[in-house]
Amino acid sequence: MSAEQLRIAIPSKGALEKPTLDLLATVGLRVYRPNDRQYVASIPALPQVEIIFQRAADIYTKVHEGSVDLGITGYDVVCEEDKEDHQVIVIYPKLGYGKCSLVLAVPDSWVDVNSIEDLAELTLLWKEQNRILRIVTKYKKLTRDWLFNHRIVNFALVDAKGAMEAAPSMGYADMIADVTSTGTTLRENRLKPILGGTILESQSCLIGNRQGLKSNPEKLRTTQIILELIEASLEAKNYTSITANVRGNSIEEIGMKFIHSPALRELAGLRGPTIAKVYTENPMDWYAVTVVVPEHKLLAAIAHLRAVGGTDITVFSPNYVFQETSKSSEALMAMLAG
Amino acid sequence: MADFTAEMAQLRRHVAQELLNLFHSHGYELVEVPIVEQTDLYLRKSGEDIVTQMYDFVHKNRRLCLRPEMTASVIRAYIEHFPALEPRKLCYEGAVFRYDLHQPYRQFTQLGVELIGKKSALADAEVIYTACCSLAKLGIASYQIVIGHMGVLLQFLRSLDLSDRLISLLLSGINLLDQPDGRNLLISQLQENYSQPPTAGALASVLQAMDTATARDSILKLLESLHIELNGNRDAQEIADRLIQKLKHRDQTQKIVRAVQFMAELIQLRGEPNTTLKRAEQVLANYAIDPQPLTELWSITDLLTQFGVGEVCLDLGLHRHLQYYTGMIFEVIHAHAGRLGGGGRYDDLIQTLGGKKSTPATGFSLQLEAICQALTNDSQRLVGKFFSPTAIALAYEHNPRQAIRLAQELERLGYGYQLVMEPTGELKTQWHIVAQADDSFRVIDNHNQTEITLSLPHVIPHLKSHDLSRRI
Repeated sequence: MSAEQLRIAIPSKGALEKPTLDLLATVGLRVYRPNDRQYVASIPALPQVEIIFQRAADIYTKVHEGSVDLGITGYDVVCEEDKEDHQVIVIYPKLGYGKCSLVLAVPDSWVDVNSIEDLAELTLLWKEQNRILRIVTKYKKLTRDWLFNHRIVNFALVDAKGAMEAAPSMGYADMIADVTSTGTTLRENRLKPILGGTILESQSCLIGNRQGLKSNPEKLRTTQIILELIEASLEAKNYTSITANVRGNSIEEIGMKFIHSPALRELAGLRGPTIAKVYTENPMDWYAVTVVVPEHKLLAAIAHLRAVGGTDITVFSPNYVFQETSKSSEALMAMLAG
Repeated sequence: MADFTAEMAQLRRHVAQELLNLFHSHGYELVEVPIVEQTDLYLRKSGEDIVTQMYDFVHKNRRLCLRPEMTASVIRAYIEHFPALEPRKLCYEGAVFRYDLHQPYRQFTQLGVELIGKKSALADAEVIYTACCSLAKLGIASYQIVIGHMGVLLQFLRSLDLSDRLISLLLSGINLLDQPDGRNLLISQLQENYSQPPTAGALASVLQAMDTATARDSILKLLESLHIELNGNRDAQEIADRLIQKLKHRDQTQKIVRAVQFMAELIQLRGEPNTTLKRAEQVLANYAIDPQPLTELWSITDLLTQFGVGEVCLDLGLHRHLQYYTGMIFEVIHAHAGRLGGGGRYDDLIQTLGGKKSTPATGFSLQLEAICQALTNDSQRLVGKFFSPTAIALAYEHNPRQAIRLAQELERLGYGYQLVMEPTGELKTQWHIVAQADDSFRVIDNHNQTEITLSLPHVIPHLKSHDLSRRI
């Protein structure tokens, strides 16, 4: 390990491990791990990078103390562990997987409690009776801060022992604050999330050590490369590339068709259609028109291409869409400057 | 949290001592209470604004906190140590801790008094008078006493039959009303949470017609028929009762609008006591509110005039962020340093915190940091006034043995001096005395720009014959 190596911690042995490896592979940064028991690995495409496998919950701490430079972990963990000293910066907030919500949930039997206001009133009723609402959670900081912001103070946070969802029915807590993605576990344990009780929406994110990146231009450059690739790759998921053969007399004539039809103009791609001559034995002139459109406009685009005589339509997904600058790279520089 | 050094530290000490002396002279006995208290003490009555700012932690399975204010602690001590609960005058000084990103100090010092066991306008006027005397003693003049009364607003909000939660939200939103579109903003914020879903309307009217027992019974049967089990750690009856109450309290919008309307009128009632009270009487009559609080304010302001307390401002919209106040409340506002302190009447706190019988009480606290700021603002040189360095700097580096002999002689005679390695211009002492290698002393008078070399026996007679006749 050389001093200039950029160390990245990624989640091991949890729900985030596989999607993280998949993401890195998709963006062109496949991780090479000689065997599953090793906790260090490399990225052949970027030899200056060292990968360290860590528990998702420990990754924030590693980045904070600076023993690794970057880390991929849940945004929920980042917010919960936040030391409020600005040492850890969120470099890429939404990696698009590991989505979940941190919610407040009460037993189904509490038919009088549906909203956060109902809960607030219950805590005040209990305060009169010298009773305190016990909430079991692994997210103590987030839960406390959020309830305080909603002016709810008569509660106590209880440590999670084993399966947290079972705590209310076992009796050592009254309700829970936990992450859920589908709500199945809550339902199975006869719990319901309360309206307006979502504390945080989370997904995987890329974080970094501010000081480490600021003081080492080599590491910063490598980070920018990684950001470029992630951004362009995730951006590409939003687009699709369509090529159709269109009959016409000249490139100009076909170009005009696209530019003058409002419906087509919207589908003309990131900048405008690319039109090229197709050489055929047939005396008719054929042209290949390529447009890149947002994914959700695919069928609309195909309909319009057909309407102007398009045929032989092929569709590809781009691997990357690079804009003229990388927004996340610029944002990183701004964060380091600030 | 801040460090205070040299002159500021000296000033703080001086101010604290002056205030405690004054409290004593007004008959208040000092109590000292611990910095760490059980969190529960504040959860019970201090209110959301304070509790959300507490340094609250679990230590060896006990939930503790750094005290965020003094009154609850002093009252706890009063209940524990004065079991007869007779009238008492207590005073205190101590650091309190609040985590507030927008405040300059998260640790600050409160000095104040509690007058326990008396419910009268005279008691309220007396504590305000004591606060004024405190400031007069320190020479602080450019401040205003602003007096309000919690009774007016609380009475009105309770008459609307609002939930405690809604009352708390309304009280915390009162500051919004100072903003241009504050009224609508507050209403829409509250409406968001308190408008009834339309489906519940029909059910609510059915329940409205029933008495509580029948309604509860019907709800429990309904839930049973729907196979909704109410077992668990809550009482089925509590759940049913709250559900009924929720359904009965249909759309709260009208009440919210009425409450905000009243609050907006209330905050307009601000100014000179006589005219403000006359206007207030009119407003309260319009809303059919008991004018008792205004009668109290009449008496208090009248008594304050007799005490010779000058400019007083009434503000019926005044709200202090502590929930235990029940009657008169007041604040001391300085022209430059802002709020120096405040207080008020809290007649329920003692019983809430475990007192055996209802005991009225009133009091105030001043914030040391704000007072020091007011003092330094009033006169920049004031800081120096309270900081009296020693008059003699004794440099002993070149001849420690001789210097120590002189030091002992100064000590015996009771002169203040400080030992230094080398006298420099930074030392503000009048005399610099340098012990020389040949056992003589260079005696420099900085005020009169003179210098003389003397042997040990002649140094002190020389000092005495000059300005240093007064012992420090």
